[in-house]
Amino acid sequence: MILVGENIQILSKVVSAALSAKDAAPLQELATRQAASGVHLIDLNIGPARKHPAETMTWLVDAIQAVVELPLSLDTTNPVAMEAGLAICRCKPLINSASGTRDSKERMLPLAKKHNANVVISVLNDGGIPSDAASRAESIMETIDYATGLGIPVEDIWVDPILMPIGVGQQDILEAVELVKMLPDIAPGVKSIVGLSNVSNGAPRQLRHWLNQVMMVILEEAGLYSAIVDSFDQDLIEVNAGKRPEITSLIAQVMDGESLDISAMSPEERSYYKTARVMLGRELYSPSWLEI
Amino acid sequence: MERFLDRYPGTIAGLGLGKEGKLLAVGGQNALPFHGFEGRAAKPRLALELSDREPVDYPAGLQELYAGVSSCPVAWAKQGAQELGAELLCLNLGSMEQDIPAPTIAAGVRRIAEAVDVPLIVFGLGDKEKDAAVLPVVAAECRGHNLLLGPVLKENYQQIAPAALEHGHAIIAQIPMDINLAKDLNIRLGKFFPLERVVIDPLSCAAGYGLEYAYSTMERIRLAAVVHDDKSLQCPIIARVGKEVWKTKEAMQDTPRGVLWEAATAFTLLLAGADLVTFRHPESLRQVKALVG
Repeated sequence: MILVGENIQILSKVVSAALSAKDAAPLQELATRQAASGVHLIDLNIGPARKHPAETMTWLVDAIQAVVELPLSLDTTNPVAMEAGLAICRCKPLINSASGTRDSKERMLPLAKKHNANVVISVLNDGGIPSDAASRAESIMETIDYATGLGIPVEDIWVDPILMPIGVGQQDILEAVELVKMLPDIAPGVKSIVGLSNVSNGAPRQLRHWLNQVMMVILEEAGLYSAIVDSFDQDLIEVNAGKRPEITSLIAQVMDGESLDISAMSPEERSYYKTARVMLGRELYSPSWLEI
Repeated sequence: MERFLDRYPGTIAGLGLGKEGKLLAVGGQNALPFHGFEGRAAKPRLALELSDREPVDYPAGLQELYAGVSSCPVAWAKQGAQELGAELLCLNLGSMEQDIPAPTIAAGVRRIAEAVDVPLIVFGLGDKEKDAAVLPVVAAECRGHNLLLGPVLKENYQQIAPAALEHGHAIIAQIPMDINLAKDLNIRLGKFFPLERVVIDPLSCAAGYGLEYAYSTMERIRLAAVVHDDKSLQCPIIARVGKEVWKTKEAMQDTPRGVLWEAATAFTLLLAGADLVTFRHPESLRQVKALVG
């Protein structure tokens, strides 16, 4: 799976301080460490960038391109900042993100065509986030039609089914997985992507990696193309690189509904097993899901 | 006529409250609310609220109703149990808002428990520190009365629950309208406290003030327990309706309307899965009793 490193993001104190002080060093260090960890793109999340949007994005893109070769994912809701960044990217960038809202269709999607960029398109529309897989599919088909009408090639479209935190709704996660499975049939050629860490938003910090990793394996089995991830979760990078086949196969067995002997498992396997069960909606989630 | 009936895998724990020989059973059903035709039903338990100090948060209509007894909690309790027909009482520790030592408060609770034959629910303030200081003292002082004691929160369960366990009381595990947190607190409690001695309080709202959220949370907790057999949620549920309803302007301005408001809210939450409901007005309690009896 293609991994996009999420660690340069405005909600981080280090990042927001460095951005406002135009101090490149901490940001460049984050970029080089992410590249070294094995991710394939670097996300640059500057938020809505209300002050000096174009200057902020071009400064950041220049600073990061000075130290890493990887393609960038430009992450802002501000079309002015987005366009300024797209104009100076050396490799084909990823627009993160557009959606089916009227504003996004009018101001963000045309930038993908103009600058020949890949573009994340989420299932969000003016009515909000659709609830089940079928209504997510309906929303995304409408936006894909619009995007291809603008001349954006289908292979440049990366569909985001929107992964909600597990504490908000377990069923909602399964609907997003279902949409990933449906995509090759309903929209052949498009790619898919999720913001993986959102699934564990609100969960105890030291346990979030279990949820993220298991979700990644479940989505990969469903056919997911790409995920925005915590580059510093080394286990996650290794699972994705195929270096932990026993973990992938354990999660696949839970997905298939096989009855497994928990007493024969190591503590680590047990944690993956329990996490897979809450992720698949077999067990009601609670923040202490690993303790039962 | 052909009948299509469901059988459910989960059973709600049956809990006995009150003194030896006068136990009142709560919960114990293996079917959804009012689905007695599909399994064993539980009798909803309706409690009358009182306070251990003259209530400051009761509107005039209620103040008047209890004017003869509200300055003496023992008399108030006797009136509720003997004249107004409550099968259990819910004592709110209003005295905790004043600067009264915990042993004095606890002795007051014991006198009330000794004065009546019906079981007693005892609610602290919901203040994590004050409750942790007072409720363990109440638990020790009222040993043998088999109270239902709470609220126990995720911030203070380690202080309150061991005292309740040691002195033979059941507890109320309270969480703010969230099924995942309800499960979390019960998992933590379950490590040292028997879950069949726990009642869940997911918080209630009056009609017109977010009742649908309370309904939905209770309903989901009950479905998880009975239909999906989630062992950590198979506890009775309590709805503190009186406290919520009588602070609404609809109830405060007009007592007969308040009675209807309280009865309608209570019945709605019984449908959602509440097993224990508390009232402030005896008339609304009577109306709901007639409806479910």
